[in-house]
Amino acid sequence: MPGDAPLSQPSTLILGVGNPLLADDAVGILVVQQLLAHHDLPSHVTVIDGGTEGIGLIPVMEPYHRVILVDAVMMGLPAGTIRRFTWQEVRLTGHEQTLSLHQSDLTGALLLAETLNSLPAEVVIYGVQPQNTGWDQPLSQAVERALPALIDALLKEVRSN
Amino acid sequence: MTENIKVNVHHVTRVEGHGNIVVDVRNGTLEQCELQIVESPRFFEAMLRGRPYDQASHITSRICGICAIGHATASLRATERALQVQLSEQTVLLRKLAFHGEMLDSHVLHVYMLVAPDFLGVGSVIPLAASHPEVVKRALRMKKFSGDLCQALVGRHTHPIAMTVGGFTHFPKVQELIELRQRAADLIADVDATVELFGTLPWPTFERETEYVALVQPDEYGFIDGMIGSTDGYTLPIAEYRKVTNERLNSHSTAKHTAFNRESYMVGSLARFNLKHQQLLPRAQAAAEHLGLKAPCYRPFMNSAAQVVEIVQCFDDTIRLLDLLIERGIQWETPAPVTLSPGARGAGSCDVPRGILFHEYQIGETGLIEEANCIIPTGQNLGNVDRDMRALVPTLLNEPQDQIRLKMEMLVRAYDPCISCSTHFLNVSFVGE
Repeated sequence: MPGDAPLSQPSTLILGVGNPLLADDAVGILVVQQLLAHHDLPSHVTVIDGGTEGIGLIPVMEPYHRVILVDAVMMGLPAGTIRRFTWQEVRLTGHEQTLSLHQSDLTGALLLAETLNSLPAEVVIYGVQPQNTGWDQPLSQAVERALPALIDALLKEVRSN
Repeated sequence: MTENIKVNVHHVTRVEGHGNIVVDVRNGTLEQCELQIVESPRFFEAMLRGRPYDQASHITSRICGICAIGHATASLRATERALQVQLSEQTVLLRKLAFHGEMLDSHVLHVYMLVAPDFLGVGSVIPLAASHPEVVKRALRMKKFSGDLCQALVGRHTHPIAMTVGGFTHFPKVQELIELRQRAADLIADVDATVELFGTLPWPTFERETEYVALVQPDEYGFIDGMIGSTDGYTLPIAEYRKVTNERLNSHSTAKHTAFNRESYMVGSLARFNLKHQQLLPRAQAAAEHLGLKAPCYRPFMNSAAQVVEIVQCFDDTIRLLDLLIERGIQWETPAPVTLSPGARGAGSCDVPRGILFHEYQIGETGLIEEANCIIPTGQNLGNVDRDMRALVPTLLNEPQDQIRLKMEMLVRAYDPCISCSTHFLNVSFVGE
């Protein structure tokens, strides 16, 4: 639990989100499953499968100092590309009037948390460019190949502080 | 009077998924008025065919981020009926409690984050959070409670992992239930404040009589199992759901429309209220009175008010179930056994936040799914939304076009449609690039 972490190590949540029925949108969930199954994580790190929750993730994230989100992200880059960025480094595509605030809208949830001063001090996003997000399609080879590097990067990030 | 009106709302915001509203009035005559669904069909059967029966609830719970427990429950009930599974009393109680968690979560999201901004004249919940942070924080407190309730019962905030065919694979500790009971007591003021807030809103008075369909039970305002009831006076067993839904294809929508005794029917909170209001718990009945909701109510905008009533209902029933389970204690039970036989069929149903949901499976003697069917509430409401829009537009012709557009969007949102809530990936552009 976040309160159990030593003071020197900020309580950290790795939050994988996505839908395993939508091909490469599964990437965040696969990362959670692999981290929980195969890796010893430092005691200050919690791993949660956020599924397709949106606004409901605000109270889940709030107790942590640092949240690392892992998700498929449309970045216009080659499929399988991993990019690390912070919440401050991105801006929303489109404007508020077209921002659909349905449950699964993670961007809206982050924006709402920020407005309410409920956003954790550090929000880091590991985005993976999907190739295919069709219903009941398999994971693309490009994203599958990116998984080991993504897991390594996450482990390095949480073990470094 | 406005002679020519063209409203074309692409991807209505603040509904779950994507739908377009098209209204075309020429020379004062309504030429076209419909909700177009542009989402692809879900390939539901293809997702399940050939899979082992015990995977079905886990797969279908990923269809929707909101109704995950609802889909899992309908899926489990279909499988359990096909495989002749008898559930324990504890399983039934735990499933009811988890279901309340999801109902609370969904209704709080809809009324606070999606409906309230329309009435309060702000574009979305973001400016609402800036101007009325205490209102949005109240909603999030209630969502946190319902999420934690689900976590304790089904192992995750959403997409349950502990619910399985015949029972559960994980059980909450009594101490967890005691803590949730205490937190529920602390939230009563928030529930009361919710009724107060929505009691002040000017609900549109538009009405159109239609048929309402929901699950009915003899002894409670329930959401799982029972019979299919209609305000036109019919009651059918769940196994005969196709006689109610009568699905048919429609030219402007990739979703099928349904019809029972009339051209269309409505499902959801207002349907449940109209059919079962006498079974509401006392505080929920008082909330309905405060909100001006009286059965039979033919005002579709009041579906959101009926959701507020159900927040009270589910909250009070959650307290009742927690007390009951704390008193009984929690027994560790192995899931009830299944009986496999060739071509076994079963239909399961529950009344999820948006209305009655059906799953039906045929399972072979090796335990693989041979056929699957799913009919979601939003699909059942589409025909009724179209007819409401056609009745509403002529009453709005003297209003400015942006007001017509807003009212149409509000009408669609009142149905709380979930056209596709599962695509969610982020779209970003980087600052400075």
